[in-house]
Amino acid sequence: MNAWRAWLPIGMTFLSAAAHAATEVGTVTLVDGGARVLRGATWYKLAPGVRVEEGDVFASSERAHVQLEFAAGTLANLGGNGALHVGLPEAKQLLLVLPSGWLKLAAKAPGVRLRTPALDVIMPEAIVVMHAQPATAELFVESGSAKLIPPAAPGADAAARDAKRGEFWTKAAALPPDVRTSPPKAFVDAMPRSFVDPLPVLAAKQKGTSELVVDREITYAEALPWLAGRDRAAFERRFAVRLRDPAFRKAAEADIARYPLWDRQLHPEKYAPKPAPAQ
Amino acid sequence: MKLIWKFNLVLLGIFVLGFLIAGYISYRALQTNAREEILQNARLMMESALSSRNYTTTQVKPLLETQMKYKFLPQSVPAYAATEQFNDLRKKHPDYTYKEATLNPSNLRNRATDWEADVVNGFRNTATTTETIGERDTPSGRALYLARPIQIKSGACLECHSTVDVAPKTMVDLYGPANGFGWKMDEVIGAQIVSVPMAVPIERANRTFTAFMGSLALVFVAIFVLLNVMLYTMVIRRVTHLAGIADQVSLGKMDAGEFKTTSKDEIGVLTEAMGRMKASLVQAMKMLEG
Repeated sequence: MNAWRAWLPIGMTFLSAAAHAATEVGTVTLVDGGARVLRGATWYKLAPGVRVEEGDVFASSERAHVQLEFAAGTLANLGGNGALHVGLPEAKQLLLVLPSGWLKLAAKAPGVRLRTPALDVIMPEAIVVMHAQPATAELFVESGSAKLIPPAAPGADAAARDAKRGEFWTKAAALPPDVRTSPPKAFVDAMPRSFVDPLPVLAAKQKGTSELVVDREITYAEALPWLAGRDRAAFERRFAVRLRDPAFRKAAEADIARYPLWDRQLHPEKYAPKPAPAQ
Repeated sequence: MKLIWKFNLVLLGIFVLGFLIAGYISYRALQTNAREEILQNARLMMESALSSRNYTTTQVKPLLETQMKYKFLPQSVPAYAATEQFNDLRKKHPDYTYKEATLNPSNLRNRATDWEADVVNGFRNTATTTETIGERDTPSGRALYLARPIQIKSGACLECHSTVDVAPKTMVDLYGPANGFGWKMDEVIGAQIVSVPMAVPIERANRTFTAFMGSLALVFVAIFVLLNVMLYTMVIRRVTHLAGIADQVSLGKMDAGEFKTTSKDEIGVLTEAMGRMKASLVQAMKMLEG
């Protein structure tokens, strides 16, 4: 019964190490206000010069700004109590996941795929401002063009819409994307003030790199949105290491039916081969 | 008529003539200078407004280009910048005005009034006219205005003012689609008009004129009095004295007095000569009696 518990730390360590073997894809060049990065299952304090790795999740507080500069020259500025996940590239395009918050993105070739709960945006070269919320997305195309794909659409390209320079798109759950010829005042007023200006290119001025300083481990409540999102399986594997924490494990146990991987680890007896019925 | 009256009449005539000529010349010069000063102020303000326009076009507008995609910022418009700069100046100098009077503006505060429209149409009808100067009455007094045409010479102007379709959406949202469109290259669409109050420089010129003429009058009066005193003491009193003795002598009163003098001037010489003549006359009379 207790044999799996002996192997659990080793397995967690292996998973954690695998998570840290991610590729560096960019640099944090601006941190203004309270911001941090989730690497593996640990929150780190953020500072300019930190290397961005695939899988990193950046979080900014209400008035904070975090700017990421990627290898191809793509700039992403996260603000307004937002979170941004740097995913694994899709079709050579950088994948960014924005579950909530404000993001100004200046995409350079080969482009970026930006995912929000309500809308996916593919842009080869464009500058956009995205405001994502759990059920809605608002997008202003400052320059260039983008392709909008409602995530629920079967066969993504079939439902794609082309968004052109100057257009403002909104997508609410269960409704088709709606377009306007200019951004509404409410959107502009709510947008982080600095987004009205071009994003500054700061990578060349960045001197050296900064080491991450551990803040704390992720809590179950903080992990929950990611565990309920479109990449839930990946995050379930990633946060498995936190099952060592009794508080985290206890909270996870309450919803264990939603986490088959964790259920298998925590309750292997449920998955053990059943003894053959006696003849 | 006595000599002093003749002298004073001539002197007064000369003084009055000189006073009038000096007054006319100085008044014209001071008024011309005052008007030149007003015009110079107007030109300086016009150049200041042009500098604001150029600064806005070359330095401010490029910085606001991205912001303009979200919200139209009139601060990026040269006319707005020049007008606002002047409005700030007007807090201390309320009588000075600057307006980019336009026949068909986006911002209706720039719409030309009747007399401004006449100025603009003057420029439109005479392409060679580059500046107009005039005077007009305003509630705060007479004012001089200096106007220069606003002519479309850059395609950048037409980005916002050719057609509604081409104009920035944020600008149309702010000002609407009804005004400020249809401008054409090389068209005179308005005029920069600087209005400068004339009262202060003219009042200053008048005060200077009054002070100058008052001083001149004082000098004339002083010269008039001095000349009269000198004429009386140096000529009239001595000639009157000589005439009195000569008159007595001519009547045979040889004891009327002596022609005495210590002066060596012309009257002194005359006095000595008359003294010698009297002495000769006395001697001749004695010879006749003897």
